[in-house]
Amino acid sequence: MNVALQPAKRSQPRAPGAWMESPGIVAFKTLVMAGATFLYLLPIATPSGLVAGLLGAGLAYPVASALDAGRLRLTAGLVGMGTLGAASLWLSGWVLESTGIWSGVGIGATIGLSDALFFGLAVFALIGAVRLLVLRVRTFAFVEAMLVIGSVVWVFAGHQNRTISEPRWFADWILERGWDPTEILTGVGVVVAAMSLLMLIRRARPLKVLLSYALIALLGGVLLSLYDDVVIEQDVSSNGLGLTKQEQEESKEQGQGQGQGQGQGQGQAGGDGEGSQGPPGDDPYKDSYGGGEPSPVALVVMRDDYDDSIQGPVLYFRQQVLSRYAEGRLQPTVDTSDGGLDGDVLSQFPRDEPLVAARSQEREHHLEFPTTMHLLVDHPQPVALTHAERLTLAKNPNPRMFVANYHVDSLRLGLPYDRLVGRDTVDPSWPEATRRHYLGHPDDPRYGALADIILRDLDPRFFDDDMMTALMLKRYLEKNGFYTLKETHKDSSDPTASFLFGSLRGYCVHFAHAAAFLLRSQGIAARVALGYAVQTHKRSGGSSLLIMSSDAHAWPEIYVAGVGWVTFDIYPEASDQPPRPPVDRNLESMLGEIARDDTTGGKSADPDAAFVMPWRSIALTLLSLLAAALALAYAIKFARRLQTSAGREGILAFRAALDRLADIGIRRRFGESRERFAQRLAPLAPSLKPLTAAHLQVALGGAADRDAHAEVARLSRSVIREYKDNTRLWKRTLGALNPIGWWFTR
Amino acid sequence: MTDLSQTSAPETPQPLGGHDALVGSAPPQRTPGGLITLDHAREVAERVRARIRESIMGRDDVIELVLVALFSNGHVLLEDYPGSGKTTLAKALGDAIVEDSPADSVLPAFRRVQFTPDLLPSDVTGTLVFEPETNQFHFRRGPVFAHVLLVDEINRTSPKVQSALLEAMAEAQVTVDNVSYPLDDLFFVIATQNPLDLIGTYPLPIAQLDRFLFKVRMEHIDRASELAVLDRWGVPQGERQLPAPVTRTQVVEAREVTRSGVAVAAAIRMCLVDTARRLRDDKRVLQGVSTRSLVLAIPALQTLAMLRGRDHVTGADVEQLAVPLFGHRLELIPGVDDMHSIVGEALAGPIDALSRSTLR
Repeated sequence: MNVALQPAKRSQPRAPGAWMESPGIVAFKTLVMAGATFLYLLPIATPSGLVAGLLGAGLAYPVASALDAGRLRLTAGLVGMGTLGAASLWLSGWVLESTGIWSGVGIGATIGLSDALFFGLAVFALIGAVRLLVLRVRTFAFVEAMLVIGSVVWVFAGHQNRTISEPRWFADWILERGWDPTEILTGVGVVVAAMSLLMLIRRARPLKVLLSYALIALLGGVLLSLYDDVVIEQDVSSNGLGLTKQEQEESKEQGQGQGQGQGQGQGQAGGDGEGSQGPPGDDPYKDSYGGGEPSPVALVVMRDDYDDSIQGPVLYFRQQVLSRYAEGRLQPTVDTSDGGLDGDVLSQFPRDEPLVAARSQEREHHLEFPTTMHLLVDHPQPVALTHAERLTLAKNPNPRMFVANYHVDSLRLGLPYDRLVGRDTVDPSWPEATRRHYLGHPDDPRYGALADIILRDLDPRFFDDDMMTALMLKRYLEKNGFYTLKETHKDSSDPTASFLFGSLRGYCVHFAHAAAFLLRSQGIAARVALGYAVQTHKRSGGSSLLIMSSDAHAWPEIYVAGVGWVTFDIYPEASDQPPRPPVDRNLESMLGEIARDDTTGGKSADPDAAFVMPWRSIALTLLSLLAAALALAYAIKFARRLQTSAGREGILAFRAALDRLADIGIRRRFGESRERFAQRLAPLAPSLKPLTAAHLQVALGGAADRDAHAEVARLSRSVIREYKDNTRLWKRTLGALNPIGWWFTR
Repeated sequence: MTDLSQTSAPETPQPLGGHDALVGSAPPQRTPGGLITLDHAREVAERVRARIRESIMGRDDVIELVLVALFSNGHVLLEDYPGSGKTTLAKALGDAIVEDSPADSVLPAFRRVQFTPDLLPSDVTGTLVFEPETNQFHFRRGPVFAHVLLVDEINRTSPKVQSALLEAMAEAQVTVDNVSYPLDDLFFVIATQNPLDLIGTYPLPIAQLDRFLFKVRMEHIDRASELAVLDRWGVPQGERQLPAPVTRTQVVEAREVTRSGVAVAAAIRMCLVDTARRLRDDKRVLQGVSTRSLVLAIPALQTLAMLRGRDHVTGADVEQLAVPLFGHRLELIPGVDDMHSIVGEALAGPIDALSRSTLR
């Protein structure tokens, strides 16, 4: 037998206001929507507009409820709200233009008034319309939720692409406390999800809602702490030096299979023009220079003072060099271990053992400069400040943020270029193969001819001086070249030749290759380096340096005997490129603090003083508390069943019977007398009526003797028997497992 | 006096058919102390109930309230429409009780007074009459000297007559010319008033309504009961099988044994007081219930418990009597008339607390 203990719920036709949300819920929703309005208006409205918008949002809820209750047609309501929205636009314009107003109250007040009118009315109309729609057509409840979610997305949109310093007010606040923005933002996501769920609720008690949300937050915190190694896949289209993953694969497969025609010029692998990059031998920088927002790719922490008086204010971070001339273009050396070609460029990431580069630089003329690299996006090869001698694995201060971390010991040239004059640029000790390797260039007589023309102006005293020759060629390109991203020479079979002997308009890759071939045609060992060139004067004051994707660069390097490889970048004097926007210094220093694992954000002298949220221990504590509470609940549950005490046997037996019923959710309602409860349960447990009478006799009657107590106990047993007979097994099982049923015994 | 002579019931009690049956029945069981038991009290009450039910159809709820009032020494105000059976009810009640007191103080079992605007207090209480034979004044008892008094249309007479009656009800005595004459122990008033006609009436103020234990609103009876009434019309009363009537002494004894024999737990008293306090705090209530009403409620609850065969008062008793007890004692703010829900809301908390207290 399974009896219906509840009166059957009948579906009733919808009366106006019948499904009205409970006042607490409406108040919550109003608050949430006001918050969303605040987030929407914060960046676009003046203070008066903001206040008016908040008022509009707050008013929209009661007004829409009143309209809903008033049997207004939905269409009429929506049209009315739309008209109001249009009116707000017109009204604010009218206020701005009417001379009477601004001459009366002044221009500032007029603008404020106009703003307040526009935002107040527009917000009111929009939210009112949505509200009315939601009240009438339940399906549209998602619109409200979307509005709430949208407000937060609107605020945090700037945060994407690793720009963790945006929105500034929020990120600053988090980092100042030494917290991890990722965790906090996930928390924000949980809160927003909860808030948007709230917009879907209709009837509930505010306290219940609050409790539910506290529980959600708790669960979110526990999950976060348990899965703290969750990595959210970043949406970064380029990989390393602007290579997409797919194109990396392609380049591996194709190797150097590109024809002469697609040589050093524009990459054709992707085949889709501006957005494409070729294999490493080709121009990989195009979309870095072209459209798209620059995004941070790596962070450098300088572990020594940097003095830019010797080599200028540009730091070159090299990832790869192209030195092998084959099939009409420069390509990476196939096997660096063999013959020591380009052995000075480390192409592996360090693991347990430090990696040491082949010795190429003469220490006498170099300064040691240690740095630490923290890569923010994957790179196929380590990026390191030229000329890196040694890579050592570094601790990853934040696995969610950094993909690779290593210390770099670099040697920087300690001489100005003019001190290099008079040196050979081909090491006399080089074997013939090496010599050929670094001097190979296209079999095109125009290179030699052009170089001859350029070198005609060389001071005869320096005739045959390699360094002066190199400087002349560099100067020629700088004076005559025009830096532009608009000419890609990609349609030409030989982009370098097309650039050099044509318009001389192109970008770094063209300049680098042209210089390399010109230099090689004059017997100067040269190669092209790929990496990032960062202008140090744009960095913030700290020791951290942020490399942006837009810093990607290609430059020539020449070999100077007795010194080593020397960065020999070409700086075209003419350019149509606008100056680069400065690096977000905030982001730079923030990332630097994270990289240094400084949880105080650099504010506190004692790093131990920083407050670190101990999520794991909080979770463990909560879990153990929960387990303890559960154990206690079961203990009480069974104690109440077994408990007996002289003089109270009847009452305890009655309570034990009620506990069984409460376990499956049957309990006396508020204000219900015992007799009515027994009456209500008569179908389930007919003996409850005599039991209740006997119990009340004991509890409220005069003197209760042992027999009365025994009678209550006997009837309690029969009620429990009836409960077992009349309740399904699964329900009873659930009831037996219910730890807190007794709490609801009334 | 002219009015009275027309409207009052016969001066002398007229034993009815069942009287002999009672005399012949077994004497009630008595405790060693000489008192009857609670069971006997209940049997007396049930006999009265059975007799009234024979005369009045479909009014079990009203009959029960009248019984509760009778056995708890209270009085009842019926608010009803003309021809709804109030006189029949009162008369049946009067018939159910026979006089067994000493001959010198014989009282009529039932009397009826129609309250009219020209009535005087002495018409109710009685007056001093000069007797030429003895050259003395002697007190001639008014209609209040009866066991059951039916006061028809109590709101039609002037306040001074109302006051005279209400004083008699409250003090159980009348005072004429500085001499007090006690009323019988079993003095029970059933007053009626017509809710329809308000012109030319003197509505009882709340303070006076407080003297009545219950104010009972009588609704029209249901279809089956109304048909039963028509069926019985014209059938001579003697032909019906009526239980034997009870004696005045039995009623008084039943009252006493109920007072002493039915337990009222402290939790019940707390429940009553808390309900009253909640009613006074309710914003919709202008005038809350009096402490006197709580005092009167205790015997009423005891009587109801006795009628239910219990020796203790429970929350269900409080639930059942709350509206009849407190309803007419509340003055609500204008525009609010949902007495039932106001009392129900005030009752919920204390009833809950009472029920919970039984588990401790």
